[in-house]
Amino acid sequence: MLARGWDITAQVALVLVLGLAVAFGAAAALALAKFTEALEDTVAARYAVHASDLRTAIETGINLGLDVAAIADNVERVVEDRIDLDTGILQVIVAGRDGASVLSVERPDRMAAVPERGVAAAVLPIRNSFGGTEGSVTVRYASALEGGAVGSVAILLAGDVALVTLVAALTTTLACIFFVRPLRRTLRRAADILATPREAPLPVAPPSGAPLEMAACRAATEARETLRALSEIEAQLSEAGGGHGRGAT
Amino acid sequence: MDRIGQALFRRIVITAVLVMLAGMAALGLRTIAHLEARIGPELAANAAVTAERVRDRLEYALSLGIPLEGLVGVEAYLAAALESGPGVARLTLRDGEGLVLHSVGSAGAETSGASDALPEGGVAPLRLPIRAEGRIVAELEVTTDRHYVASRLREIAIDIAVLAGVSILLAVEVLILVMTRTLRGPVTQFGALVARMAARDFRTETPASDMVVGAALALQGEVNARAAALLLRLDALRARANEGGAARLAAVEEAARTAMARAGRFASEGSEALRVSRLAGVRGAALLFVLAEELTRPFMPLFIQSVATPLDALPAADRAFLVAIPISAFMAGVALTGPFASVFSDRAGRRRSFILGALISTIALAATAFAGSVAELAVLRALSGLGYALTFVACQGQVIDRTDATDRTVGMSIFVGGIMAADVCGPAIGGILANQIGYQATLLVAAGVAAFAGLVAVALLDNAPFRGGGDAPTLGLRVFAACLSNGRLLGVLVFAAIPAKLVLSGFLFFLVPLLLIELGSTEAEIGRIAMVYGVAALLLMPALAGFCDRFRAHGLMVGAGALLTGWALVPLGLGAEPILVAAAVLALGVGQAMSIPAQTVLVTLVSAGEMERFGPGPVLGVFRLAERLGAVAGPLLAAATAQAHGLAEAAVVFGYVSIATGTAFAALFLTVGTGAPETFIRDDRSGADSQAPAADARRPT
Repeated sequence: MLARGWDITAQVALVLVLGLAVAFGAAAALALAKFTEALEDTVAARYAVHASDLRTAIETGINLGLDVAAIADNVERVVEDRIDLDTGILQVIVAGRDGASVLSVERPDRMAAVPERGVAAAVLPIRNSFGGTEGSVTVRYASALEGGAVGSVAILLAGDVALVTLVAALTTTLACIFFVRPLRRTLRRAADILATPREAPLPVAPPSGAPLEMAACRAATEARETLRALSEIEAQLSEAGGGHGRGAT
Repeated sequence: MDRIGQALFRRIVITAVLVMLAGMAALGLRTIAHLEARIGPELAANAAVTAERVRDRLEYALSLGIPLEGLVGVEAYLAAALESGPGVARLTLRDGEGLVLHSVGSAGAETSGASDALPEGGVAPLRLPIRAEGRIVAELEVTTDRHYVASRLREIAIDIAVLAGVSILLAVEVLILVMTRTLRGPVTQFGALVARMAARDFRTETPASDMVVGAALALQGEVNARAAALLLRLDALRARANEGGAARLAAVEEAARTAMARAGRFASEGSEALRVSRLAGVRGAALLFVLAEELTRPFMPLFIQSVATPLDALPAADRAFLVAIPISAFMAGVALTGPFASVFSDRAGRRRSFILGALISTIALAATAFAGSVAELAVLRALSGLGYALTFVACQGQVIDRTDATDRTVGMSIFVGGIMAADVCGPAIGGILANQIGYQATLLVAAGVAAFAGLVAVALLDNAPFRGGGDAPTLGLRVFAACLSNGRLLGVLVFAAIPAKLVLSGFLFFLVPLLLIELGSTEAEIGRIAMVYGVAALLLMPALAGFCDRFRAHGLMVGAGALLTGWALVPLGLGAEPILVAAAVLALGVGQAMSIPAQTVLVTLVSAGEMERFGPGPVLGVFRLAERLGAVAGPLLAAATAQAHGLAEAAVVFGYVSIATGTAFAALFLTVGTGAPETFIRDDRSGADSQAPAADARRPT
């Protein structure tokens, strides 16, 4: 009896906990995806600023009538300053109109620390004052995903999801026990009423608010009445000498 | 007895909702804290770069001899610098005495002047001295946006809220299944058993699904054993009376048998099975399968477009038509194979029919993910339509098998409830998934859900073949001819049934995703807006159907529903905005909730003669076919209109179609009426043939 009662509680609680875990997990996954996007946007914007500043410097020279290749030496100094300013910059490449590299400044130690798939780039075209493309500036940097921030946040969020799910599981399980217990008690009482020995008086069911027990009482009463009626018929048969006594049951 | 289960169910669901809300709030706060802490250093680096740029420019200007107070356009420059630095909330320039000269950015940003303590995000305001001729003349203060992460997370707050709601709805659906099996089923079974026992009927045959049912069965068994023993004695007595010819013994035996018959009804008379409803299983199976199909709803036109774009070197205008073909192919698949699927389901059994349908859909959805042309997509979507038809008729058939005239309406509402839940959850989840993992992966997820639906059908559906006898009346030319010569019925079909489905499939399934993408919405937003239709139908359809029956306002509801839908589409011509599209989808949901159930009843009202002649099934079959033809034509018509006038204008055209047909319908029925006594509805609607299409009519397809 008890096992069946626990079955109900366990199954209902399990469904709720699974539903909650899925919801919390999915919400955390969405938050992580958004965080990754925000982090990438933030980092990319910074390197776009570096690229933009370098481009401005180069375009100033071009607008004075100089060729990109001709100002490469001067540009190198500006690039070096910029690389020193931000340790996240791995390499800066200035390319000419044909796409060939005119200037490339890199930090080999930084490059070695970042795998190729972890490198992102901000690329801006260099334009002359007439809008024609004279080349491009590429700033290569370690992607936001390389720093391990996303991984550490994922671990923290997983822990939080586990914790919140655990608390939710405990709460819902306790609530299920609390809600199901009276019903289990009622079911047990109804079963007891039906199983009461025929010679014992029936337990008195509450007058209202306990439909299961009342229904069990009515069924038990009628069953007893029927058994009594059958006994009377047997007795009449015995009295009339038409039977083999009362041992038929 | 069912009230006990319902009350318990309600309490458990309320608890789950509260726990979900509290959990989401706690998780949200923790998430923001974690993310702010991790993004802080990046924001500080951005602030440093921004500060260096601004300082360089200011110091350059000062080096040219321009006094600090004489600098012009500083605020515009600061605003541009602020724009290029995400996560920077404010830039402030103070003079040597700390007086603010210029400040741009949000007013609510962290104020460095008030406190030097670290703000919540862990990033202190950055202050840089501005020098001229070697001395500090000003100070630049860069304040980071400590609510940057929270503001970015707010962008997905609606997604998370939708996710929470959908999770609750799905958990409730599973709870319905679990509680029906573990609690409500046994309690209802116990109630029916003891009610019979209280009436001294001890013939009930039912499995002992629970301890309390077992106790009642034990008591019943005791009574039956006693009665069986008594019967043995009476049989022996009869034999003795027959042998000896003793009239007295015969009289005693006869009197005892009469007294026994008065005492009650026993198993010896033949047992009577207690019907155990397994409709929660049908609901679960239907929900899962329809969910698989609904997952693809928000992005299917976009996916088709992406397949069509590289391979079919056609002008953009023609591509709209190509997108419509696979969508209409699905509708055609459902419409054309529906009658055959029904026959197959009757012969092969509900479970086999469902599993076959789920298998076909699984393969078709998975193959759709890798389709390389519009022609392939059209074939695969038609196959999905076949799968849909097979599973749908299997579920509908099991409801009909498991119910009779007394409980068929309840049975159908249980089944339709599952489908409506899928209508709500599917587009929302599908949109979010498409947004995060892409169309192909979402299609594969949908295929997985369809396969899972097929697996669970093994446990949830019966495998007994159709138990109805005789030859079922079928659709034929005579039926068509008779139906189409009935002017009123023709009016319902042409002015109500066909336009309702035309607008639904053309606008909701075709135009809404394409229009919203054109307006810059994401797939998740499309899913949320498509979900509005399901929510409106889920919440309003039962109430409006009840209202309709109570006030016999079927004609009014059909006309008003069409007009409401039509007028909600017209404003899209004045300038389409996502909010207007959402309002139109909501109006469509309300309009269809008003119109669809009322249409089925109207058909039974106006075609009384045909129904008497051919039976309700074939006549309602004509109605259903007309509806599905409308659904097939919808996307094609929308594409043709969109090619000529644009997407928003095509929606407006659909609005005018709805208004025109709704007005024509209202005019027709105001002048000629239904021509049938209203009481006809009540008797007819309890029949299987009328209920099945009623459930079908609630479906968008």
